[in-house]
Amino acid sequence: MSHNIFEEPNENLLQASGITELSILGIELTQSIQSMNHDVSIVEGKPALVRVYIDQRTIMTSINVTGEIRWYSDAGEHFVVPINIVNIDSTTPKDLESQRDELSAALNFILPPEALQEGLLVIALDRLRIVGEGEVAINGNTQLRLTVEKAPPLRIRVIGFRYTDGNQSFTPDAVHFAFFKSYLLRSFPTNNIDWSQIVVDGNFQAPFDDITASRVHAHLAAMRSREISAGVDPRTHYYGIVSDANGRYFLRGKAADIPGIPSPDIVACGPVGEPNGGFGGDTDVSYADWYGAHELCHTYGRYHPGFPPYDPVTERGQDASDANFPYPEGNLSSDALEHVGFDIGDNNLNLPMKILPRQLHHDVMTYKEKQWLSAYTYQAILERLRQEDELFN
Amino acid sequence: MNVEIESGSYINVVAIVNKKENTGEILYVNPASLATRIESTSEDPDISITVEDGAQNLLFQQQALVRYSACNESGSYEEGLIQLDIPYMDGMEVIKLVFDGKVLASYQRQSPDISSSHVGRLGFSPALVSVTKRSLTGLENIIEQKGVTYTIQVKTAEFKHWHVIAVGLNLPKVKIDRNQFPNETTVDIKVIKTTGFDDEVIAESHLSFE
Repeated sequence: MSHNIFEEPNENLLQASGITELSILGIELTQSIQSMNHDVSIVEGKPALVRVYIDQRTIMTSINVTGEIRWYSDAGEHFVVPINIVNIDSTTPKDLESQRDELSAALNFILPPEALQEGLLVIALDRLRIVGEGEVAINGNTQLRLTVEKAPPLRIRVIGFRYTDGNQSFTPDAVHFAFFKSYLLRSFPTNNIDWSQIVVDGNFQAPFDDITASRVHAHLAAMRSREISAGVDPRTHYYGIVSDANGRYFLRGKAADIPGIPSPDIVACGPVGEPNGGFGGDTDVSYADWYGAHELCHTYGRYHPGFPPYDPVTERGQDASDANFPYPEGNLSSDALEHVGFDIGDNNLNLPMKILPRQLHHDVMTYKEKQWLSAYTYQAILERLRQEDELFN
Repeated sequence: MNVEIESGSYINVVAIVNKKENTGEILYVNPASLATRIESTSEDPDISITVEDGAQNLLFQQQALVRYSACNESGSYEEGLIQLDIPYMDGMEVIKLVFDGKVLASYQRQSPDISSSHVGRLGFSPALVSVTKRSLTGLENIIEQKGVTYTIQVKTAEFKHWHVIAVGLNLPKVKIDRNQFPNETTVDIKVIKTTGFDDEVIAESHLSFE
């Protein structure tokens, strides 16, 4: 006889684990990249993920764990439920490092933007519960106290250039603008992108030559001068995108300079197109995002870390103009510093939430695949955004 | 090194230069009311921008801050960009890009031929089903003239400032793609004729996409 699901739960389904207490290895709040020391700035309004890491080593059975956190600040006090349930299996216990590198291995909570207001933010783990059994005691530090910092906007105007090869006209598709903007919002140290975009006829034709990018820079500079004279914020960066015509014409991206001081008048440009299942380790429908972020970061003063190293024989690789880059192989972090990347994803673009392990992903200023902002670049961009925000006041 | 913004009357000069090839071009010259002032010690002593009057008297000379681009294929830095705002002076006639004493490029002020800029009523070409791009009409009689270029600007309810959709055109031929203004039924359009030293708005209109 089948069980009536509207009556009492089937007791046969409940197998008590006997666990009355769970230990916590740590709690982490991440917005783009973070370490367990929280040495990366938490910025105002930017979506954040709180991750609770449970000590799995002493658990001798298989359990599913859920819980509840509470955040409080000057904005109030609110409870948050997790977006997942953690399965802990005694046959495959995960240590802290493994949990940090895998989204589903930790208990994850999304903080609402109102929790991330400038000032003190406290995250408290209030409850842990074994699914099907009940609440258990929590052993370990259940509170995280952080300071949320103000972050100025990133001001950018993106110009799509239309061009011809004499027979056919090519225009950057809307999807590339969308991917670029989304990447900046997800990865950069701000939740405020002052964005505008337009498509104009370029001053060049395909096929491209050595000075095409310089012509694009000149076009951008002339547009910028006209527009700031007409009232556009002079702190706005101008970035040009050029369609790769489905791989036929590739305009190698360039920034006009790498300014040592805040200089929003430095323009840059780059190609856009589909990565066709692999360019730069990218498997979605646009490489405009990380490619554009690289060139844009140059305009915020970021140099090349030198990965992969430049080979004069093949003339491939990257100059090591940033002698201070701290991580090996252009990775997102050194092992000692333990930064892990986090991409909150974008439902509108079918981009899932992801954890970005430090050895598998590389800083956006390298020429290596799977690019994201390391803590080093993230903090430097935040500092430059603040400096530029103070310009012309 | 410091960056400041100053307001006033300026001439914005955009040029490219290649010291290895001994070549350069002055690509855009336009009036500006805001200037970016960079106090720098990084100017190239070999490259300068000069301005002369009609009698070849030197009115202005400045060593150029040349921007050398990042992400070159060989890591070399040969092609450079110059962005310079020159204070407007009466009598400005010729702008020169000079490298090592040699004039690589010059820009000569022209007296605009009034008859070359006969403007009709500004409008859009007829709306066609499935065609999103509309040409600007009323500008067909304008004749190309050396030293005269056109800037076309757009303003919408969403974007309060005039935005450039074309700059440095020899003729004001442009197509407006209404897909770029998804929430707008109308748009303000302004056509500016410039000698590089002076602007003249030759047409301005509030146009409907309908």
